[in-house]
Amino acid sequence: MKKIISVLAAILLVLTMSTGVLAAPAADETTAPFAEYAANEGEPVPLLGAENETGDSVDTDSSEGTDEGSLIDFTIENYVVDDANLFTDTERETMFGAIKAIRENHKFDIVIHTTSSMNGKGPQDYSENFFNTYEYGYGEDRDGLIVMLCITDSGSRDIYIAAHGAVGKRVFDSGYTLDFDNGPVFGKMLPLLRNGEYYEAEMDFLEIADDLLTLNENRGSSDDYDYDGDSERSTKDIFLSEVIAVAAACVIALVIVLMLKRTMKTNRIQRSAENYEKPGSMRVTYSDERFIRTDVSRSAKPKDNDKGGSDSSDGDFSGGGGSF
Amino acid sequence: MASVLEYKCPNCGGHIKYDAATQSFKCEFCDSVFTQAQLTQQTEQAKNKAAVDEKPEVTADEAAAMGVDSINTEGSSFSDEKRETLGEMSVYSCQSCGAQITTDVNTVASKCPYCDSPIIMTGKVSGLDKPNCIIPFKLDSKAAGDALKAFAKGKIFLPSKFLNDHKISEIKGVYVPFWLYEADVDANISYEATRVRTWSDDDYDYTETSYYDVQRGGDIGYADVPVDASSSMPDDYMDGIEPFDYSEMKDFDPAFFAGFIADKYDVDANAAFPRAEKRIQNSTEDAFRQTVTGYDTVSVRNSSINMKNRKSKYSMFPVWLLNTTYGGKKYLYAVNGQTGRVSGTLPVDKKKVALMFGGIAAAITAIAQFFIFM
Repeated sequence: MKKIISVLAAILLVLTMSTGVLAAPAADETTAPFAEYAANEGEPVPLLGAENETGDSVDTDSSEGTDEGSLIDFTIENYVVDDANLFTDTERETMFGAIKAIRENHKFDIVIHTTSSMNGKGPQDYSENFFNTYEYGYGEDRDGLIVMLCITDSGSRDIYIAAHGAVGKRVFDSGYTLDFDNGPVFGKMLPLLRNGEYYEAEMDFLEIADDLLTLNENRGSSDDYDYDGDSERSTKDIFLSEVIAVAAACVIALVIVLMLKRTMKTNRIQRSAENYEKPGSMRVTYSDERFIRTDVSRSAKPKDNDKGGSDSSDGDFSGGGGSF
Repeated sequence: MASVLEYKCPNCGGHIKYDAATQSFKCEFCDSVFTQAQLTQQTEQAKNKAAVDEKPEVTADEAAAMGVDSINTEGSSFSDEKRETLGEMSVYSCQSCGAQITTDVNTVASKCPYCDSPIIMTGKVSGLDKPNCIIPFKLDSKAAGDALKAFAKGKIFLPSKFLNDHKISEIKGVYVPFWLYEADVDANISYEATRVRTWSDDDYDYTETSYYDVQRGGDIGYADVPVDASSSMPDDYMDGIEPFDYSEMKDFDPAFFAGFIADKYDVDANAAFPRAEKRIQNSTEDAFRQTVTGYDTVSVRNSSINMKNRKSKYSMFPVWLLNTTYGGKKYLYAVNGQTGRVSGTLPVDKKKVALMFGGIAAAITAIAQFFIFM
């Protein structure tokens, strides 16, 4: 008897939840579609496409449906995921417009996501996980990035940008572009973010991203580099490596040749009388070792900025970010 | 008193020479073999006979008329002033053929250039100037030539024609005078030693160097450190043929000179000592340095080396000198007459050097490509 009741209760629970999910978008057009999911990590993620079919599609741009570029529908709800409610409708639409333009011009996905909780994860893990779970990214390589902004209720603020795919990692590299302390992206965004001007910061970023992607395309095709999870080698890097290789080879060859040449001449003054020691005549009669002083010197290590070797499970991202 | 010694074979009258290959005294014509004792006896007899005759081969006046300096006879009363006019030459008369032989003032043994009979100027190796010991020749001239070939063979940068085309224009078997030094060293050396430790944290790499003052004091003894005592023998060549096997060293007897050339010393024991001193000092520092263990770097800060009980022995060592020509250039090689060790400089084929350099550099660069494009 008890069994039957508990089974019935479970079924009821599931039904209620699903109804709630389906009903929610209708209630408030500005609620982000992912809010519920953020709290329930272990849950299987339903196909996002499903919502749009049944719920109201609120954006004025009609949903493009699933296009060939990405595995997730290209809609404003999917690409401007404002869970923390930082932006107005107009702002979101403007941002989405920019994202759309970038996507069309550069075949590159940009996702803007705000949240009030990272569910106990670090910003890098959270952002990369988000990007992967919802399968963002354009094309087979899933080129794209996510700009994650987390403003918690307790007042701590974090920003993180994670880029995926060969193009993403090359153009938005951890070592310089996304370097939190010295890079150009955060250099521009941080003052605005600190001031609470989140929308301005995002728009600035979108502009920078567009420029960088354009530059990248003008520089040459990206198809040459096939490295999986490795940073791209520019011609300059390779040239430098070759120069060092040749120099080292010459030095080694010189040393070997000089050593061999030395055997050609055996007339040389003897330095030591080692052969003429009276065997067993050596005695150490006095021995002393005294400590005098210690010197400590140190050199600063070059700062390591998640350069490809992030500890998230997915090593395919470059990224940078921090608290502000 | 005969100043020049020649050993004659009692059987046939030929000259007795020391044969290196068999390490015995042999007549060059009839191959009769004699012992050292027999030759000594012969010398004694000759001396006694000369004492009776007491007639120098050339009189002092005749010598002056010839324009040469004094005859180097034992107890000669001729002044040494005349010696300088000719620049240190001596005159002898060959007992076999009567020819006048002029030699360097230091020459102790030589061969008559006319009749090839060996002559030994015992006057220069007697009394205070008598060597303590001698290592007799073990290699004959052919073996010396072979030693040079063996030395040259297999050397990578040797021009390929050298082995066939080199010509030994002159080969001389020479007894070179050496001073052998013995000393007991009392050493006091101080070293500066360091231990280095490195570690890192997130921001910095740290290096900690600890400095120590290390002292060592003690004794060490050296025996028979060789320094060549002839200024005409290049020191680097003589050092290059070391070591000699002292177990074959014998008490000196002028008979061993028969058939070879010999020079007496012209650098005395005090003048030659600094070279031995330097070698002893270096070895002492090295020996005590080895007792300093457990440090990352050790360097000598101060060393005081005192030599006590200094002794020197005057010895004659066998050396073959090979004057060689190849490709129009002259090359000198010295071969240790006992062990066959060769010292000298071989010609270098520049093309082979360039080829090897290029080859190795290319190979390493090729290997590096793997790492660059990995």
